[in-house]
Amino acid sequence: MIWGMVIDLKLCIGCQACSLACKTEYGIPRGMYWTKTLIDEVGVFPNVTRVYLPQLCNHCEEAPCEKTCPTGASYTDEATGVVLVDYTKCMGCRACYVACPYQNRHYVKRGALQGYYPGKGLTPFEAQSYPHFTEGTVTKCVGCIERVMGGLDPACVTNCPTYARKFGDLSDPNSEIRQLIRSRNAVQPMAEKGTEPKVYYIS
Amino acid sequence: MLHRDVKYIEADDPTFEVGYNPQTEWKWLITLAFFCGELGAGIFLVSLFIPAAAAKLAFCVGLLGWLIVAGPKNLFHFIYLGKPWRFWRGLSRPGTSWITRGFYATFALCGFGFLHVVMFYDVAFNGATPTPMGQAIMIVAGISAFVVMIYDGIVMTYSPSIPLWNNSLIPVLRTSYALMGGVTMTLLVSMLPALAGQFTGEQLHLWSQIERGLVVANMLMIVIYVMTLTYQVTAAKESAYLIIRDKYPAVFWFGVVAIGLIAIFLLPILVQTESLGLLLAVAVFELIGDFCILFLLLRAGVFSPLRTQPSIDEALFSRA
Repeated sequence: MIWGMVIDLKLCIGCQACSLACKTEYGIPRGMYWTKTLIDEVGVFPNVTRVYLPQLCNHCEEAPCEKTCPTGASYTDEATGVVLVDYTKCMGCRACYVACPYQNRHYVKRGALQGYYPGKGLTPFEAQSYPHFTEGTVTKCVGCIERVMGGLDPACVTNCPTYARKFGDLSDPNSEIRQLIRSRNAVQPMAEKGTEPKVYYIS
Repeated sequence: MLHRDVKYIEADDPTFEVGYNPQTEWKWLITLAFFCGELGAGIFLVSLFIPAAAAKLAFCVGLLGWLIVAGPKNLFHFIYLGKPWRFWRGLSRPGTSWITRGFYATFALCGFGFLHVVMFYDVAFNGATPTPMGQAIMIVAGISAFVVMIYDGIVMTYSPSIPLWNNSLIPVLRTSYALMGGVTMTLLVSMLPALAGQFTGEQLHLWSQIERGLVVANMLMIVIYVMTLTYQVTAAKESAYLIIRDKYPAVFWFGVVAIGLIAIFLLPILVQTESLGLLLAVAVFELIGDFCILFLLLRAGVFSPLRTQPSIDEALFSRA
């Protein structure tokens, strides 16, 4: 299967349940989000409204972060098309950070894994999740690859209360997401960058 | 969409607002590493074109360039890395990564440049004739120096995310600045008492003319570069706005334009006589201007906000 996601902007209410689900699933350190919902204000007073734009790693087909990585730490999982980082290879040059147009690369600074309560040690939750991170390396959304391989949807999709996020197989022409992409004229974010994102937006 | 419809948001912690976010990871250490790399490689490359009659000067200038690359450049890169002792892994992707290619070029310059300097010592101080092996090493070191000069600019140009960088003028501009630094430092070193007489009056005049030509070329390139920014996507306009008016106007107008270009162009004309004091002032001003333009390129680089995708904008506005 090829990992793919369609996000319905008409359904997103900006509740950030996806952001919290992701943080909870992976125990992501303070100050970084693998997914988040951006809030934008559009229009001119008095005709102003807020719109929400969920954002996550797009697991691009032509990922600039992968191309620019000098160590080979960034790679695409061939079975799923998910872009991953091998923390044992990353040297922390942050070339991927400046290459990603979607700003979805996060550098784990030195001291970032000291825990939420300074001097009090790690909470049980942090103690369980922080060993999966390495200070001085870059981290990013892993597409919930282990959940997907186990037959589950990614955490952000499962926890979306309005079903704004749909997950599926991009290689299957009859999958729900492929049908949505066709029928609702889905668009890729910043398609002009030539990155071929695997996340699509419909509205 | 006007570029100021979206806010400029500078925050270390993530923000949930749509805005122009500056890149926050490539800061001082990378600026210093790029600066030293380009300057050192420029000086080294220029030293290879110094006439044979001034071999002592060529040796000293070449050694200076090599030291700047081998020392500060590598040190700043090393300190910057999150996992410094994994630096050797940066050599594994020459097929796609310009950083890897730059690594190779830097290592080649450190190795072949050292060999060149050692072998050239005999030529410069003992009057030996250059050997074919020495010439070959010099050519390889020169090519490496050229790649070191240009690869930083290509790394930046290669990034599709920051429109300020995603501009083919950057490598040309940085190379031109590196050469200007090389010529300026050569002129300065030639005025040192120990190397007096290495350059004849005519040669000094010629190299000064070359320097002035490079100043004019850089001036034109900066004007063209800033103009192209205003015709690009909104994030490039925002970067131009930050540089010229909003956040860094003092660095640009005073550091880059007044000190880094106009002063070094006018000083020799106003003073008339070439002296160590004058060339020292010109060299300091040149280095300030060079550092300022690199500082601006790295600091004023903002990501395109996600909403700038036209079709998404349209969708959002239709919903509104």
